[in-house]
Amino acid sequence: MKSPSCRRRPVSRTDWAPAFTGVTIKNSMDALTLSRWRMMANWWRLVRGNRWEMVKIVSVLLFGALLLGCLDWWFYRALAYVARVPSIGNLLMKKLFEIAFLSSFSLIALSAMVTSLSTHFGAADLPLLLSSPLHHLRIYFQKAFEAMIHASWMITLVLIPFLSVMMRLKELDAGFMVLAFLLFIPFAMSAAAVGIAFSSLFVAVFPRRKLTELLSVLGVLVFVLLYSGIRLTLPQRLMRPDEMEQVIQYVLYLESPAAPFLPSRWYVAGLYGYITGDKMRILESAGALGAFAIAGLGLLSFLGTRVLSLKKWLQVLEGSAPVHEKLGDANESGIPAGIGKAPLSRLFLMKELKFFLRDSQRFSNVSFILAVCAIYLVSIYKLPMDTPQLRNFLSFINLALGLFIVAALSLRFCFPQPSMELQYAWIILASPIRPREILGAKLIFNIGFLALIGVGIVCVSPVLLGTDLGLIPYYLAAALCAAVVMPFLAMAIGSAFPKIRFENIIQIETSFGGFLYAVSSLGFVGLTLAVFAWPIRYFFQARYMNYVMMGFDWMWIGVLSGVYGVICCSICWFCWRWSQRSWERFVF
Amino acid sequence: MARPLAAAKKLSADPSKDADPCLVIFKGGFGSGESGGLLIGFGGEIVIEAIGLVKNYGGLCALDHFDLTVKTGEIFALLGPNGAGKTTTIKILCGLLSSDQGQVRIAGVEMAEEPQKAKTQIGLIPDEPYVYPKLTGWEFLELMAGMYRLNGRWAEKAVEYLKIFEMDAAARSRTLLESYSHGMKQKIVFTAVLMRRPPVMLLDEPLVGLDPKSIRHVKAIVQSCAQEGASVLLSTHILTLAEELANRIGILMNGRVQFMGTKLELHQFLKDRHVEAHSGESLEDLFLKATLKEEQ
Repeated sequence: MKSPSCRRRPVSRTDWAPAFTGVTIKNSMDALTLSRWRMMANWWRLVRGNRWEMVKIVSVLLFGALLLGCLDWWFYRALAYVARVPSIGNLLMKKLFEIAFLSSFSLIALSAMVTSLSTHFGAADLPLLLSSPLHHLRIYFQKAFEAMIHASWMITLVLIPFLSVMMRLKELDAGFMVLAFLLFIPFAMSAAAVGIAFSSLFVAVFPRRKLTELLSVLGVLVFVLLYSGIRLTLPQRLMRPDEMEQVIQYVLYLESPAAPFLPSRWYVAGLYGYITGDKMRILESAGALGAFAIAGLGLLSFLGTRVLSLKKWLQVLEGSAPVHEKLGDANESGIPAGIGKAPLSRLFLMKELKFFLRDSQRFSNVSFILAVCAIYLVSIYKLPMDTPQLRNFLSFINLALGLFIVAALSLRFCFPQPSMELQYAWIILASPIRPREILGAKLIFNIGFLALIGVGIVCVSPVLLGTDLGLIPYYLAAALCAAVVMPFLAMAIGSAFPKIRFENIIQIETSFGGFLYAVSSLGFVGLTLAVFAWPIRYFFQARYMNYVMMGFDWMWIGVLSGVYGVICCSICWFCWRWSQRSWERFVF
Repeated sequence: MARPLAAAKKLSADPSKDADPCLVIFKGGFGSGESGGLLIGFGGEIVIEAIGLVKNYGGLCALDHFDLTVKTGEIFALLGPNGAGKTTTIKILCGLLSSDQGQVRIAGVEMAEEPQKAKTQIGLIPDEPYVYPKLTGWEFLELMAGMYRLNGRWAEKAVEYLKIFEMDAAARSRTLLESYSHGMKQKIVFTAVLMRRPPVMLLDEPLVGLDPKSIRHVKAIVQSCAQEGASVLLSTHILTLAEELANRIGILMNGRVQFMGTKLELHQFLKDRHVEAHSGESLEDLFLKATLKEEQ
């Protein structure tokens, strides 16, 4: 039997596995580590041999480079501005650094806490590993290492432009980046160890299936409270010393470390040791960070042996599995009588609703939504807005942010749905059900969901801002357009680029289809803002500059609205056809 | 294959008789593994032992004081309807689940106290085999060899079984496991287990996804393993398979053992409960009568 991906040539000696020459792997951990490398090498081999995969990889890399470039530009502007503040510029920069790395430490810890719930308690290879003679502590550390990598790589990427800007502003050489990278390793390890320790401790004490959700909710809640706390303290006051009661108090505040007992302080101290040429400082910091990392690993070792023993770990895994519940009678299930004769659209709509309500991650999903809304509302509530013009201008920015949040929510909740449905395509495609019936139900559900959220954010926030209520109809129209178009885009791109083999939803969102959808939805947000900017601009002119709209202006608004409407309808029609065709042509 | 130094006394063809105790010394056969050790076992020595296993999932009792023994060279088939507790039993025996009560011993090693040592003795073939999708077949076998610390000539054994399953070319090619069908993955998992010749084999629905030729090979290999001293616990819905291979069967329903013994003993069991049963009936007929009686 030949697999379709076999090359059509005789098997040569170079195709033989190296082990066939007699090499024996004596260390079981070497075998696991070697297999990880082999998996990456095999993935790269597959990608390299496939032109379409290479295009996808290059596109993602280019987009990532663009994003990093934008971050670099923004960081440079912000840090250069701070550096130019008279007398206290350097202190301010150092303070910013400490806050940035304190935040990074917290983010890595939080991310590791959530990631380890998947790697330690949800990975598909756990039954294989736990049924082998490997000591469970070795497996625990293998998974901890995976969680550390997953939790810290993205934050590492974001910090690269930040550090690069620092290097340029302080006119340092490349040795600064090398030191920053070397010190970052124990820094990230200790942060990840804290997060993994927390999740291990919690699941060992409360080994219940819902705990993963609870921890996700707690993590999000902590983040929201942290952000709200920072935001409500008005950190922009740092730029204005006269806000402080006494100057000396202000300077002391700047000079004190942001978090004296956390590794972030030592990390920044090490970098500043390089800046000032204080080698002893660098060594001290490296030693402290190394000690933190070792302590973190020691903590994990303790938890892995004493708290999360093998038996406890198996109990937790057992608790993660679906509980076999007895089915009640049909009358108790809430299914109305005569359901068999209900229209298919109603059946599928009810299915979508039941899936959402029964989804084991609904609490974390809902908390994520609420957290996003809370962060957003806290951010705009505390914006310094003194004049009506400023408030109205910012309310337009508010529209942009609101649409961006709708796009993010649609990526999180709408885009993965075709992939999740197509996992079981053999059931659907072998039945007489037409794809349009399932897709239609999903669209109705998603449009309703996004409309509720989008209208809530975009229309309630102007009230908080104290903006002119005459702008609300424009915002409402924009939010509704986004709530309608984005689900169509999600269904189309999600159906054309499904990812049916996944271990968690994030893998769907971060696939090539997810990237394409993110770009498309952001493009649509940009288009919407460009179109709605015109009537809002006329509104401002009429309100504050006594501008009287002429016939040409009305015609221009009419043409814009018409073109925008045609574009939206075209997108919806095209996406509707494309998604159906993708389902019909889907090869399972 | 194994070359026993002393021929094992073949299990009686009459399933009503237990195997007579005898001294069976193996070298290079099942039980010696690849660690260079030697297992001296009495034919009839208990290798798999479960005592008083209890397992609850919330309010649902999956196993209720379950006892089981499987001896050297014995094939034991665990039967029962869906949700009876068969997979739960196998998971507890191989250390993937912890029981609420009871003990498990594998080749005299207590699973709870020395899990690594006990697991070294076990070869598990689950109903849904997991293989790393981004590895080739041979890389997966290497990984398993490393995890079980095999040395010596495991690669030759692996090739031998790959050839039996007609998988040698596929496994040694650069095709990744994610491209394999279910049956192909199952064959790789079989090879990974058989190449290290464990003294205990736990098979959970082992024939799912296999083609008829491979099914025949698997049956022959399982019988051969048992003849060479391995203890095999087989969970299956295919009663003809159980009838063909097993020395003893166990019927599990709602977590409780309804019957344990040979087919003849099952026949007598039904008669004692005033269920009409004829001596020439198949195991399937007897099983259905036994389970129907229990449901009533």
